Amino acid sequence: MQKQVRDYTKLKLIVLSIFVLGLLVVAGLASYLVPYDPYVQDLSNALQPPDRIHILGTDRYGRDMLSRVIMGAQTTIYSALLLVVVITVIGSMVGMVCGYYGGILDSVIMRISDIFLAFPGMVFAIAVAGVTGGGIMNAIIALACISWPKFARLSRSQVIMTKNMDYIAAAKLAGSNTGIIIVRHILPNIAGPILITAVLDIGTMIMEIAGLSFLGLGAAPPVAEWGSMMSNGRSMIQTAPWVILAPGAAIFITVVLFNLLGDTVRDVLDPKQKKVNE
Amino acid sequence: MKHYILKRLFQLIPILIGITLLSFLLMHVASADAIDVMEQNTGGILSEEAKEKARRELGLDKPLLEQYGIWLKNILSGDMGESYVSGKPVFSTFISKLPATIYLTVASILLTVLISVPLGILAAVKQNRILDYIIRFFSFIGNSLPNFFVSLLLIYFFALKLEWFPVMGNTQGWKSIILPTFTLAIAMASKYTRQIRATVLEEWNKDYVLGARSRGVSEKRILYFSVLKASMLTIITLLALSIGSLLGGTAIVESIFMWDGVGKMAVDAITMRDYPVIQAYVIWMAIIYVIVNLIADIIYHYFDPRIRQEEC
Repeated sequence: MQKQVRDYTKLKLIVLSIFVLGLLVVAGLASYLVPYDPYVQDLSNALQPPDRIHILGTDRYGRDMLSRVIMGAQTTIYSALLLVVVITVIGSMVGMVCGYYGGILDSVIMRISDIFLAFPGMVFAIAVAGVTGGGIMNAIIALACISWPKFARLSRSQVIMTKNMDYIAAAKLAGSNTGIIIVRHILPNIAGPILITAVLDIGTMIMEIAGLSFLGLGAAPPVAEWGSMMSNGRSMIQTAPWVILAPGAAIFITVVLFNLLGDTVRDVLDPKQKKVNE
Repeated sequence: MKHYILKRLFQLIPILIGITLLSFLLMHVASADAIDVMEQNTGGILSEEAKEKARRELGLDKPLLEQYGIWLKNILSGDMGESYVSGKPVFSTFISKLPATIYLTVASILLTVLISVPLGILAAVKQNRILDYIIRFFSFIGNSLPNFFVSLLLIYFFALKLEWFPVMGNTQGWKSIILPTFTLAIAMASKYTRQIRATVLEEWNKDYVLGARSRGVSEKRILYFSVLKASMLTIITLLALSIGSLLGGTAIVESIFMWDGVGKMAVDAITMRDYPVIQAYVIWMAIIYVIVNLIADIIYHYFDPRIRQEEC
């Protein structure tokens, strides 16, 4: 019975990984896959409802929505991935160093992370993006500023739990230097929880990047990005709802996929947690 | 208890200094070209002398730390400068828009409680049965929808197609708050239904429940008198903590529904590059957030008999 459950979870992980990889490949090769140029305007063809030529219709400049949604996948998904990689790497490194050495360095950095955590997430992101004047990179920086402390705290607490174990003491006695102890002995043991948090964060970050772009603080038009595409379509919601539905559904499906993947990764790596949740 | 509150208040000081310093530096970077923004907004071309004069008036020619000191003193006396756009004092504008945001936040929290508490408990009680799966399915969906998409969907169906509620504004009494409230509550309720379910289940699997069961106490009695009572504390704390993040999370929803609160004010200010307004928004939202979280923490300590005992 137990084995069956585990096999089923593994199968789920494989299937979901294939879907997510497929999505990443489509997003990565977007410029080769689009049926039409997502940036060429054709005003005579504006706001056409979905039909056989334009499966998802056209926007107010006559641009093919399907092509723009595919192109937008590249902007939105890869921005979110970049963001998650940056905060995971920086956050965990800071957390590991703090947890391992402790002392003044640890207190100072933890107080700094307290300050970032004291801002309600979106408020600070809005402020940073507003001051730096929008643009997708600035949106990523803004979200990175408020998101790294989570990973720093997570890895710090994990390191503190691990560093007094006997095998670490043994490694020290055997003459390993600190770098080797952190990378070879501590990191593999704390990577699980960090990876789970990182994968579960991708969906949230996609929504936040799209949210900032929706407010005009992320990707700027004409760049195809799901959030800004929806923002541009707002005024046409009554006459041409497909302009909003297409990118909206794209965000939703992508976030669902990444959230399912995150849940499954957690079930595989941390069966204890699964028992609590089910 | 008193000792604990004092300790927490003391810990608040460095955080408040951090918040203000960070906001100050952020705006300092931005306002290097504040004079240019003013020049653009007035439409005229200013002479170099006029620009210098404006810089002196804004105190931009003084050393950085001194500028921070002056600025902090002004803030503490409620003077946060004037809006570059409207010329009105920023602090009083912020205060005048705050009630609308609080109104929206409180309504969303209430709706979230109404949805997520019964559903979370129900899902836990019916664990791994069809109802549990249905509830978990919907909470998963709700968790994967960005709030700007939810608000546009609600506008499309309930305001444009069915015409039950106004599309935007906060002028039509209770009708105008329904859609923004639902937008915010759908995402939050999805999250909390899952957490409440997990909390109730965790409590349900504790030894004292087994003990009560073996003494022949009925399942219903265990649920209502023991499990729920013990879970409530966690649930209340979760909700109190979410007030803070919700206050900040209303910006997108406010600007979609043209809800005249501080979130919309901030988004508008960014478009106009009206830095004093953005600054006031960031600082005050952070301060409110920190204070609300502190109160939630204190409530948790006050009501949890386990922690209370440790304190004494």
